[in-house]
Amino acid sequence: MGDIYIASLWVFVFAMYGVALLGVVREALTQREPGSLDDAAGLVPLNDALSVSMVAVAALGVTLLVRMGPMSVTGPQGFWWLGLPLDQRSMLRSRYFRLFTVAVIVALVGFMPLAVAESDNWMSLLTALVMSGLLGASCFCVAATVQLQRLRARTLKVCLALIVAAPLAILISALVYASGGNIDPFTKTLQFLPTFWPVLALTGDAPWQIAAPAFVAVALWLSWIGRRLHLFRAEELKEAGNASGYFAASLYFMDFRSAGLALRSGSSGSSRKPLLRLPGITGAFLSAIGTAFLRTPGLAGKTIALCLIPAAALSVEGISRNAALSLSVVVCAGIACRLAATAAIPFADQPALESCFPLSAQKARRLHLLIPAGYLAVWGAGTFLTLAFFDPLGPLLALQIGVAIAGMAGASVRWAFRPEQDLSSPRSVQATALAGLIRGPDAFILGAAPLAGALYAGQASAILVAVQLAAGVAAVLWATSLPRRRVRFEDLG
Amino acid sequence: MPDWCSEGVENIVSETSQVLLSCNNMSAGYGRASICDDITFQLGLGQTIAIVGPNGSGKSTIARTILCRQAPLAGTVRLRGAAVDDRTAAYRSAVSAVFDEDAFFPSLTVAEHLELIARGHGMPDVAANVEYELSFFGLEKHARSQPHELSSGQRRRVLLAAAFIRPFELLVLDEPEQRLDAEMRSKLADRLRRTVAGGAASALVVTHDLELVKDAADYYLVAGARASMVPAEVFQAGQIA
Repeated sequence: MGDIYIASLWVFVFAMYGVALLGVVREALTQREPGSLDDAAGLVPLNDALSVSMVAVAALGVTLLVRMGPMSVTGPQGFWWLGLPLDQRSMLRSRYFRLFTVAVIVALVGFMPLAVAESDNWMSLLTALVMSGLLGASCFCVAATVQLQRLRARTLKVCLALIVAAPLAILISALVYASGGNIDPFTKTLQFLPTFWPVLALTGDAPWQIAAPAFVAVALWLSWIGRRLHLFRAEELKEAGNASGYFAASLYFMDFRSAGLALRSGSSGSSRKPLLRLPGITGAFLSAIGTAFLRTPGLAGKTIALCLIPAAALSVEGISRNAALSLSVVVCAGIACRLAATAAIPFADQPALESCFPLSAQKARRLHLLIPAGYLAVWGAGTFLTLAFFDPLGPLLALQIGVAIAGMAGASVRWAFRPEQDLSSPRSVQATALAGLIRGPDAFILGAAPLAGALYAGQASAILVAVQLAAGVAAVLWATSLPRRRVRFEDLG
Repeated sequence: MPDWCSEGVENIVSETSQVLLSCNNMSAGYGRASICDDITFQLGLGQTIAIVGPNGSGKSTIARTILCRQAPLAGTVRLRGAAVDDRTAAYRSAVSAVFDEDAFFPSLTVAEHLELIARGHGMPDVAANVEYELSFFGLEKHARSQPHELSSGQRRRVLLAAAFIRPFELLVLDEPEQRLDAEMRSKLADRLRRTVAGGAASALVVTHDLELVKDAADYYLVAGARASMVPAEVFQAGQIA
């Protein structure tokens, strides 16, 4: 009876949403005037851009939750409890509600700055926060359902596709607006999705009439999963427990290098892309790291998204063009820099890999610069050519960008070779935690600051280029310097 | 100390053999705590030293210290007369090592691993060499698999194939018998003996499997607080007795 009752409620809720959605689409199609050439500035209204961006943010949240389970058990629980002939539901229930609460709190805290900045009164702030909590809860429910239905790989692909599609959709919208077109039905549809509700609450357009059914829907969904906790596979719970435990422990020890490894996708790159076969000893080494890098899962999609985001930010109405450009380029450059580091990270984790080739450690470290440099050059070309489509770059700025990319390659290698956490003494824990936190980002920030300045100012100057060059040289030198061993045979001899 | 134990270096390398690796009063351990002291030996080309001893006696610690994988506490280790430094191209060209760690290039298949290592060392006829090692280690069916798709024993075979496919002067194997079946252990023992018998290479093998090194070992380094070098005939006679 319980299942029939819940199924009926589900049908009712979805039917209500469906009717409302159709109403919004019809209203948008019939009442809105098509765009005219007069307002063809090629700018996308902020709300439209936010409606697209919030889908991408939710996809990112679901990705993180799916990577860590979200449902999991600790090692001892997996070993002792899951093997017992007991109802798994009672064992997992408290953890289930705890994880759900964490997802809600993270969403609340994440949305809080925007809500505080944009809300006019206490009621809109409260509604926005409730909506953001519901969004977090929905993301958790999606991730838990994915885990229950064993759709992990497919969901991660869908999430990546949504993240890539977001800047592309904004750019297409800008082009459509520029040509006098109208894409309102599309963005209005997105604004009806739960991802946009927190924003809607800030504008006062999302009253409690929406929050209440949303709350009921999420509660029903939560209850539906809660009744199926016994269907989570033991192996999957243990695997997720390892990943989330590793991540939590890494954060506890402030070992951000390990935290990154914990979140890394378990899937290995496909070997369908052909092996690079560069000649010579250095060629073989570069082939190994280059092939592994090109086979990184989702590399093409992530690169496309990173190339499009700055141009998409530039196309949004109502925000400072130069500030948006400067910020989005720096953020995307940072992510590209970190992505480029994936080629060298296995060598940092397993020094034995490098020893397979008859190259000195110094030369190998220098060779590690080439893959990030090549990748960041591709990212830079993609980004700035897309930007140039909207706003042509001056030659000096183009030169500065080229210099900045060389420095970022250095930062990328420095990022990859962050030291492992040394737990041998409190002092070493402190030192390695700090090094793990700042090594890589330090060189990146040093190199990104002059570029951000030039982009914010809208032009480069000879002084900025010189500063950029100095920062680039420093980053490359940092990246290629090998740490000295504490004790060597030479010293003892 | 039993009377068949000998310390010192003079009697190990024959007059005709070139000294490849020399270890003098080396102490190995962790932090300031020494596990093995006064390890002294010379290893000539064409010779094999088996490092043996019970669990926790420091066998792997000795091997790791010799290869600079952990800091030495005292003493010197020289490879071709120069202090051992695993960061130099000369060392990486001369030493091929397999320790108990799954070190694989991400996303590369088994055959691609072997191919790149062979090409990296300028091996002629790479394809034929890859095919031979795949066949020797029983990996033909897994040539297109990635190492993480294999069983632990198969991954061990890949690591051994990668160690043997390249040229080397010093082969260091840390408990290579782990996770290998009896047939593969026997083949590996034979390969080890043949490799060193040519006189162009030497081996340092950490093992619990005395059968593996029975025909290859010239000396046994018995790990412990005071490690001792024992000639193979004496050690094997002691085992039989």
